Amino acid sequence: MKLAEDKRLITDAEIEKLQNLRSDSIKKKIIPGLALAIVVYIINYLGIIQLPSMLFLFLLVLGIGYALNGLRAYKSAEYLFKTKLMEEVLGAYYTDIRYNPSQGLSESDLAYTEFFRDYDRMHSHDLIQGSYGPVSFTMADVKTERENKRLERKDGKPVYVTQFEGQVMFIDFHEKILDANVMIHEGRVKGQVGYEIVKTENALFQDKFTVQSSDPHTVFYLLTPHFIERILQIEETRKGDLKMLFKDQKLMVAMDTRRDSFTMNGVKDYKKARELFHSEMRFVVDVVEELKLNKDLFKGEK
Amino acid sequence: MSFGSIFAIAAVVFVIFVVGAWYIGTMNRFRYLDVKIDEALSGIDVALTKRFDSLSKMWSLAKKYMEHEKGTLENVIKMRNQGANTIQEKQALNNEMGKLMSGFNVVFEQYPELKADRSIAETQAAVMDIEEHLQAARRLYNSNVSLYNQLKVMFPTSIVGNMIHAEEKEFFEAEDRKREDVVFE
Repeated sequence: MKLAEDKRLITDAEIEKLQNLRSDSIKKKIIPGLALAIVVYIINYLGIIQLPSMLFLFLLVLGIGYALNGLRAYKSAEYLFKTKLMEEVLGAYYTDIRYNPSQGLSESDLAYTEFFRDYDRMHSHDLIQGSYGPVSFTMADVKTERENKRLERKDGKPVYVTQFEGQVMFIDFHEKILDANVMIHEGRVKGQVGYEIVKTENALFQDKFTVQSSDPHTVFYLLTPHFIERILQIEETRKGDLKMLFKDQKLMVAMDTRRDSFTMNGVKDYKKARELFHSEMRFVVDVVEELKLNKDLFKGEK
Repeated sequence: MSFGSIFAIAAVVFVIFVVGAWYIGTMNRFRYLDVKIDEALSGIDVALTKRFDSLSKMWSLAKKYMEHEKGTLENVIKMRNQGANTIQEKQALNNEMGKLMSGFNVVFEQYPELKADRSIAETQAAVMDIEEHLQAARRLYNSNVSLYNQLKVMFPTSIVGNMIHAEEKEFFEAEDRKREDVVFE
């Protein structure tokens, strides 16, 4: 979905300006500054030119300082772009927004989702809370890691392997009152303690997902043929492994995208970054719209 | 005894053990599904009872408008009192309750003031939820029956099925009215 021009907080001209500022800071400050510092160091180290120590230190500090100044300008352009874009993206779809980049989900939140069991450390940040129509949600970036005991660094510190990196969401689910939890994993997984694997009639759904619950009846009550089709739609439009858990009138979703949301790492084109951010933030909208969480089945559309 | 004879005996014992273990495992699978099917059938019974109770409540709220459906209601009560033990009887009872529900819907369309009544609206919502539970119970039952029947007809599990006199089970069909084409008037 393309955002209407009047809802854009950051224009194409501003994007180009920030992009130029970013590339200028790399070409005109960081690279020359670092080059100066490296050249001066090498010259002095190899003894090609014997510089007086004060001059040597001055040039070294000048080079590094210049590079750091360029880095500051680079980060500043990125920060400005990111905050404006986030305001645009979040405001485009959601209301009652509260965003905290340094806050995230807690370990007890993760334990509640039942998706994350054997990890050794976790990080979470970019906490977003808001509403899409009558549906409230909370989401954050999460990364869990497991220690790889077979590998060891030379300094003896443990080596960690990423288990999950992506977004975890909690979305209101008041469509039906469920007597048991229902967990849906993309791919083949082992049955969890207290759950049994349940097979539905949809062969495509069975190939793509593993469904578990302590009560098979609840699975069939929740996963009507229509609902199954909608989950398949969501899966088709998203990259990354999808996990869903229906529990206590909440829907929990974990998307293993191997990427933080709102990150500029590896993104060179700011216009593409805007499309990417919109696409990432639309996920809650897609889930709510596809699963019809903002509609009351019995009383008509809200 | 030579090594060859010992090896031959060990091989025969191993084969008998494997075949025996497979036979027992397959037989247990049949028994397990039997129990699951009975469990699913009792789920259908529970849903049918709830459906009957909610339709009775709906009737008591709207009975003065439902005189022409009295015959259907009497059929439902009669079938329920006789007890629906087989799949066919349960299906027949479900079909009859479906007709009653259709009757209610027609009356609600003719008398909008009924639809606006809060008690009727709540009962209607409850009936819809129960129908979803009934569909879930039916799909769960059919899913287990399908697995059972697959074991019964496919080789080599059909060998065990024939030996334990397993019989193909019937599916719980959807209501007749739901299988008819929708008519727009």
